[in-house]
Amino acid sequence: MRKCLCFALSVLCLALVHARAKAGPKATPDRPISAVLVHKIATDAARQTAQTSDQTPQGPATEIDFTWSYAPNLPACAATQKSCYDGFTLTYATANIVIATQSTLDPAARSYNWVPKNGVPYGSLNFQLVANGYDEFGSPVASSPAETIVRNDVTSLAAPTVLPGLSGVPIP
Amino acid sequence: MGGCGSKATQSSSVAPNIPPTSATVPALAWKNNGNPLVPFCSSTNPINCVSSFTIRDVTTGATVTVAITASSYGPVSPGDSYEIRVDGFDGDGNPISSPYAAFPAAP
Repeated sequence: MRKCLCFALSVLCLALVHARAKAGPKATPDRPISAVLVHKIATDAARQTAQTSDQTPQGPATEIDFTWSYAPNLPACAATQKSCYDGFTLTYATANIVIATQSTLDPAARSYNWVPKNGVPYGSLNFQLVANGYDEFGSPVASSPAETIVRNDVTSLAAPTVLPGLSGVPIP
Repeated sequence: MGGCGSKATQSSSVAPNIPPTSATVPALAWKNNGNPLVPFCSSTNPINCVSSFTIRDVTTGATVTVAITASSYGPVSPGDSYEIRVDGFDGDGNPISSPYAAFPAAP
C-alpha cells in the first residue's frame, strides 16, 4: 500500500513538472504596458521632459515611450531554446505594424522608446505587447497580449503648402 | 540650321489635324495640405482628420470649399489675390482650421 502511494505521488510530481514546462510564457505581463507620448519643441532638437498627452503639447509628438513589468514563469532562454522565454514583441496594432521583436526586446527589457520615422500618427493608437518563448519541445509560444491605447489628438492644423502664383491649367 | 527649319515645317504639314492644346486658364495650385500625418476624414467618424480646403478671394471676400483630395482650383480671376486654408476636426470632433496661406502674386 505504501509502495503504491509513493509511486502515485511520484507520477503526480512528474506530471506537475511536465505541465509547468509545457505552459509556455505567462499569459500576460504582470501589468499592462503603459505608454507616454513625448513631444518636442519644433525649434529645439533636444528631447524635452516626457509629457503626457493630456498636457498642452509643445509641438508634434515625435516618439512614444513604453514601459511594462513582467514576472516570468519560465527562465530566460540561454543555450537551449526549450521551456524558456526570450523576450517580447511590440506591435502597433492599429496599423498591424511590428515595432520591435525579441532581437530588440530581450528578456530583460522593460521599456522601449518608439520614434516613428515620419512622426507619431494622429488618432487613437492601439499597441500590443506579448512575451515570446519556447515550449518543452522547442516550439515557439507566445503569451496573450497586453494592450494600451495612446491618444494623439489633432489640436491644430498647419496651413497648406501653396505653389507659386497663378498657374495655367490646360482647358480640357 | 536649315535642317531644323525643314523638319519643323515638315512636321506641321504632316499632322495638320492635331487640335490645339496650348489654351489655358489661370488656376491656383498647392503642393499638399500641410498635415501629412493627419488622415482624411471619413463620413462616419470625423475626428482627428482633415476634411476640405477653403479658398478665399481676398479681393471680393468670396469663399469656396474644395475637396481635400484636390491640388488645384480654377478658373480664377487673374487680377484678384487668393489664399487657402485646410479644414478638419480635432480629437473631440470640433471643427478646426489652419491659418490662411496666401498664394503669391503671379509674376
